[in-house]
Amino acid sequence: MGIPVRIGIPRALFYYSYYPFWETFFTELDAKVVASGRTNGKILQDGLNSSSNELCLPIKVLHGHIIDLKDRCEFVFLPYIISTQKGSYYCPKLIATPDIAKAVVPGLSLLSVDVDIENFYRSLYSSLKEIASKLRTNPVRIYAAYRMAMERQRIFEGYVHGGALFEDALSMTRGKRKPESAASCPPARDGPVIAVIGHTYLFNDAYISFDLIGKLRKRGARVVTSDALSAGLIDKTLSAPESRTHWSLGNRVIGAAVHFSRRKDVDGIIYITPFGCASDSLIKEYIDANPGRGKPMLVLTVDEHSGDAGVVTRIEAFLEMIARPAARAG
Amino acid sequence: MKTRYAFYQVGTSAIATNAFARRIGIDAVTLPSPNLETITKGVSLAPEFSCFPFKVLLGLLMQGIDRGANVFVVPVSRSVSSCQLADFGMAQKYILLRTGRDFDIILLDTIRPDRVVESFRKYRKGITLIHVTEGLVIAAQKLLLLEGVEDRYRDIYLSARKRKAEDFRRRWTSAIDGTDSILDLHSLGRRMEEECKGYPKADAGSLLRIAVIGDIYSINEKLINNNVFERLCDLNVYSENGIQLRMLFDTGIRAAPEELALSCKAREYLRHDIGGFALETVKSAIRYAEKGYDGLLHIYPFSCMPEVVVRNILPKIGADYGIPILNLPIDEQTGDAGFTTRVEAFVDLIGFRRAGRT
Repeated sequence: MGIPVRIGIPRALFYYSYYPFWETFFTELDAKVVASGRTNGKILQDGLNSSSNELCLPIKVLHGHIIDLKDRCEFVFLPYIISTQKGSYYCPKLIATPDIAKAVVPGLSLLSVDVDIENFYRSLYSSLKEIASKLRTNPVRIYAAYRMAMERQRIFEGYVHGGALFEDALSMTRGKRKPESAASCPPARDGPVIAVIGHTYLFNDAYISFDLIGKLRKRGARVVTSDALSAGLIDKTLSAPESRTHWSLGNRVIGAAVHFSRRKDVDGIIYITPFGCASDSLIKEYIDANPGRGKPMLVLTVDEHSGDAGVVTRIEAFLEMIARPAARAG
Repeated sequence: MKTRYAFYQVGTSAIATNAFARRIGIDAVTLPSPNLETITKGVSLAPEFSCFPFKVLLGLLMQGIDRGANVFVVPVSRSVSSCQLADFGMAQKYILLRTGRDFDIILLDTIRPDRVVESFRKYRKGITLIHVTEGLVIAAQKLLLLEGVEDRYRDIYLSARKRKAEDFRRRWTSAIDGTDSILDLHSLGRRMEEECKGYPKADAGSLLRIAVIGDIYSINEKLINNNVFERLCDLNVYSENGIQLRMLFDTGIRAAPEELALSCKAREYLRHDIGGFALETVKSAIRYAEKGYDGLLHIYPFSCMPEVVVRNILPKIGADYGIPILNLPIDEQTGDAGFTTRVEAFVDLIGFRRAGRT
């Protein structure tokens, strides 16, 4: 083999759910995986300049990451993730991210696969074809790579469900010791336990979530996130069909809200959502309609115009409210 | 308590749903066409980022409750080709129950007509599949005719006079409302065509031509789209409705060869059916661009998921096919004057563009 094909993976959206899988998969196929840098001012600005303003912040940021990557690799990997569970779907904007990216970023060469559990064989076939032709490899090697990647992903999810944050889980999956990342906690013994719920690609990106988790930890709170709940647990929590929405990510938020508000050890819930997130727009109604609420809940809406001070003020006010005995007893 | 039903409505669809209700023998409450009160009511309770159609429909349901409705019939389709609409019914129920309004909803699975029967049996035992099928056929026929009336209205307005067009619309709308027989409706459609032949033809060749595409609810509900078709007629522009209500159920037409060719072209821009009418909007954009229309108006609610995707793709289609496109996101804050100004400016621009070409 000659020079390995470089495949760019933008550090946005599903990166935070499936990066270990993708990294292992493409490395096994003799490709070189290039991830874009952490979100910063330039990436955000590039993203904003290339997107229409109705898109949500995470997708605007995705475009910034793609621009950051596109000259450093042959292909940018961006999958069409349609459904990963029967009966619930991803937001149309998320499904169509490759189509939007193609339209707004000129000169982009994409490697896109279909992930659709409802049309499993059709999507599998088209995905195999795409990968085999673009990476010049064969289905047998793809299958072997898939098995390796699946194994790695399982280990990663094990750490995540054990309560590790994305960054920590990723480096532990790679076999390193637990690193001292900015967000990793000095574990306070008696601080309040705050559940951060929302979309994984929002609160795991320290830049666009205004480092919500780090800020909470700095103020002595212990943080659990909605990532730590397995899909099975979410399903069990939302067993009634009328408590589920059409959206996979929405169901995760509702399930997490219901689960954490039932848990005795959780003192408060912070729900972080991007401005204009339409699949989240009706979620509060579903959460309120579910039995077992009654925990203090802060809804934090962020977009590119949000200010750091505003977030700090709201977090501090929330923590102070929780610290009052009446709130803790309730 | 007597069960009284209310249906979701868009444009003049109440005429069709009322016929359906009469056919299967249920008592339907006629909702008002959306007005400012509807919007105020809906916006007061709806979540901030829910789309504009959600807010308007919520307001309509509240007005329906005031008029005595206690069961709402809400369409829902649980497939990938649904948008936020899939959650409308339950969310509206939660919101209205919270404010102390008591009622029930029937979720109509639009892709499974057999389940429609099941849904209604809860309240009315004697309903059979034959009733429902007949009801659906009549409703569909009426919807098609009503859309025909709207199309002809614009033609007559442009070729004859506004007063004549309004008279035409009023007469035929009430005629369609007046009969529930499939045969009558059929001959009625023929008679309408006959009458249209009597009017001078709108000279579509010399007029500017604009197609309106976007979210199906927004472009078929006059209050929501600031009566855009009327505005275009006022500006002496020939306009076409790119996303008609018939697309809700008319699937046969999509298998026509030219439609399939269009689908292939559309899928280069949007590979999957992502929900709502996104793929149809992309197809319509290409269709009218290929027909040589002078411009496209893309109307969609702010925070509409499928149409926001399309909004990002349209500039590329516009560049590839060489057709100007005006994006008009709308919500409860949209002002009449601002909307009209933008449409007028757009019409001026495409007018200059055409003059420069010939």
